[in-house]
Amino acid sequence: MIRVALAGNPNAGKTTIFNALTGLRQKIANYPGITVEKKIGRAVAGTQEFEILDLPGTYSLVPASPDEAVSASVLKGERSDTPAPDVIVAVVDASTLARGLFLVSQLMELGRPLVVALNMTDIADRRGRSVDPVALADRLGVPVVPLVGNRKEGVGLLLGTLASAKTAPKPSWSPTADGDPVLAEVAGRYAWVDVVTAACVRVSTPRVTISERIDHLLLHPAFGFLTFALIMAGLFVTLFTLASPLMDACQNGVTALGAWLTSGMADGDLKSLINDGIFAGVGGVVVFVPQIALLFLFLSLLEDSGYLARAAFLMDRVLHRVGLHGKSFIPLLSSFACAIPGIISTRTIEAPRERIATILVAPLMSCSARLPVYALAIAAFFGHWAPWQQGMLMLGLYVLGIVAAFAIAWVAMKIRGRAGTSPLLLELPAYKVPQASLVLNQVWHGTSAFLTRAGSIILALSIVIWAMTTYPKPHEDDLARAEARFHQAWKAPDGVTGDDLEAQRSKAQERYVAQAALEHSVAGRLGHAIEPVIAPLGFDWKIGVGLVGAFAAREVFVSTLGIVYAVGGDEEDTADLQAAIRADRRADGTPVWTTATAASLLVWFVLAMQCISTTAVVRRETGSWGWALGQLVGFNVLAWVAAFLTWNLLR
Amino acid sequence: MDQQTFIALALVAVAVAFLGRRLWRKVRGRTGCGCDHCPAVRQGSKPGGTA
Repeated sequence: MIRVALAGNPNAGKTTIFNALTGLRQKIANYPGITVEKKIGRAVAGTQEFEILDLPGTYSLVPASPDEAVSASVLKGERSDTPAPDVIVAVVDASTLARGLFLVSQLMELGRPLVVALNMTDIADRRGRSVDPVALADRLGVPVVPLVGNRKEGVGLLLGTLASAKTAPKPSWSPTADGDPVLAEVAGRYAWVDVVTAACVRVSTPRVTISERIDHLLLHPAFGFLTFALIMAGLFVTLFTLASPLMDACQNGVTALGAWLTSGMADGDLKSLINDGIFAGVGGVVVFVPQIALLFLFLSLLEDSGYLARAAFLMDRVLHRVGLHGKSFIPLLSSFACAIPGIISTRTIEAPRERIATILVAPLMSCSARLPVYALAIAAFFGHWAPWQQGMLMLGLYVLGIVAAFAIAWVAMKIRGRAGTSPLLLELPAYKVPQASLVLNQVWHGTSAFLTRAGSIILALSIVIWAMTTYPKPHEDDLARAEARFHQAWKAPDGVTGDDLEAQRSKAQERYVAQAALEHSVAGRLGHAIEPVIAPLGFDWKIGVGLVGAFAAREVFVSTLGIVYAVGGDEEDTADLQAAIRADRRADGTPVWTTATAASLLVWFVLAMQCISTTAVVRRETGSWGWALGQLVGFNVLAWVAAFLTWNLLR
Repeated sequence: MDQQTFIALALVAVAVAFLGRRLWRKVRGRTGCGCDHCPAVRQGSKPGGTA
């Protein structure tokens, strides 16, 4: 077994070549530093087996960020958890040859067998800077394999060359006369690079590519931002318009399945658990799968087409003004799916203050777990709006999170001062038609993660929350007292007589007694216990039960409401959760849920820090409980104040 | 206690055990962040920002 390490600049195509060599599926993206974790695969050529290690992208063996430090230490054989590679493959982007050769000059000095994989030769040709691989191999003294990684051209040749790789000779550079030894070394290496490139690059008239023409428009300081805003607005409007019929179909399917499964069962706790716990809880979340899938589809299309790298470029200036970095864009964007991978990917940001600021504000990006809550509240209380208006409201919630994030980052920058910032180095890949298999793979990955979560954590939480809303059951005397209270309080509606009156009375009594049983349960008592804190936000104890559940996972809020309203009401009214919450009344007959309540709840969910997993990751990534707990407490106080103001302004 | 209540309570116990184990492993750092969204973390990266 020969151990092979893939090293190279960010975006040189290491991950693409890794996939082509090993056949492993892995996320490929068009921005620097995607490879922040250790990725190993196996490849075979004839009888020879290879273990391929995909390293984080690096510009130099003198690391400037945590992930570059990993690459440098692995290549030098300094890590106890990773054996030194037998062969190093230096992946060099032929269209930016000089930058790649700088790293190659350092790799040649490690004294290990080296092969240069000259990737993206097609792009170099189009740009009028064709590289002669034979001349380059002659100059370097190591094998050079020309490749077009995304078309898998040259990958077989690379695999065949690995077994015969030989130790590279030391490059013949010498430091310049600069006073600073570091600068003298850099200048000396680049002088050597210039000699090598002069010998092997054939310059011709570059063709203005279609990508460059498109970039003139999409990277324009004014038009670029306008296009960005239009693309995002279009995304959310389409999300709402397309997902609606699919979600209705899901809802009908889930309801029908629950009814079919329990149709032959006698009334009892198990039937209640299946209907009111599992189907109301998990089913309530599963119906949002179409929206989640569409969100991932649109993001994947934007990413794979090459547009997201442009968006990062556009956002760099804005991000810098609020104390963040252009590299913060990708972690923040990842946080729209889930803050956890977003926070982990901040390892690519070199400046510690910018990294901490990004970690601090990443949870304010509306993650996919918030989507069901947003969708439920919007559909229930703004359902009479046109789809495009609902879409714009949804976009507004996302924007609110972004604005809050920028404001907090800006305040943090003002308090702590701006540290020395590093420039954004970003490769803008050529625009291309998104690859269907890659896009579908990412949609599947995101959706299946959501479904796996629904089938494990949310299922378990739904069962526990059902138990909390069911036990302890009230004593029969308590139920009799509740019935007596109902008879005292109930007034017959005017103009209703006979069987209709009896049916209405019976239904109201059933609901009243079920409500009394719910209030007697653990969840009811918990909801009442926190009611003084949440009442100023317009929330009652039932919403309080949902908020407590949401601290385990945000989308549990929807499933908890499903359970609470299924347990507390009758089946006819709770078949549709939206209808149930609209029909809910306080003791004085006023509706529990109003537009002000929905708005207050939405503001709470945009700003509140409710995910315990995120807090755990912030603790690990910052190495400090202070940041993690400060973020937890600070964001929840901010959310409380904002929801309080919203409720009082709109009530 | 009737049969339905017995089965329902058994399922509740299984759910509590599952969530408890998950929480315990998260506290002990066995599953990284404990989130299902990030497979790289589940493979066991080291905390502290240095991978």
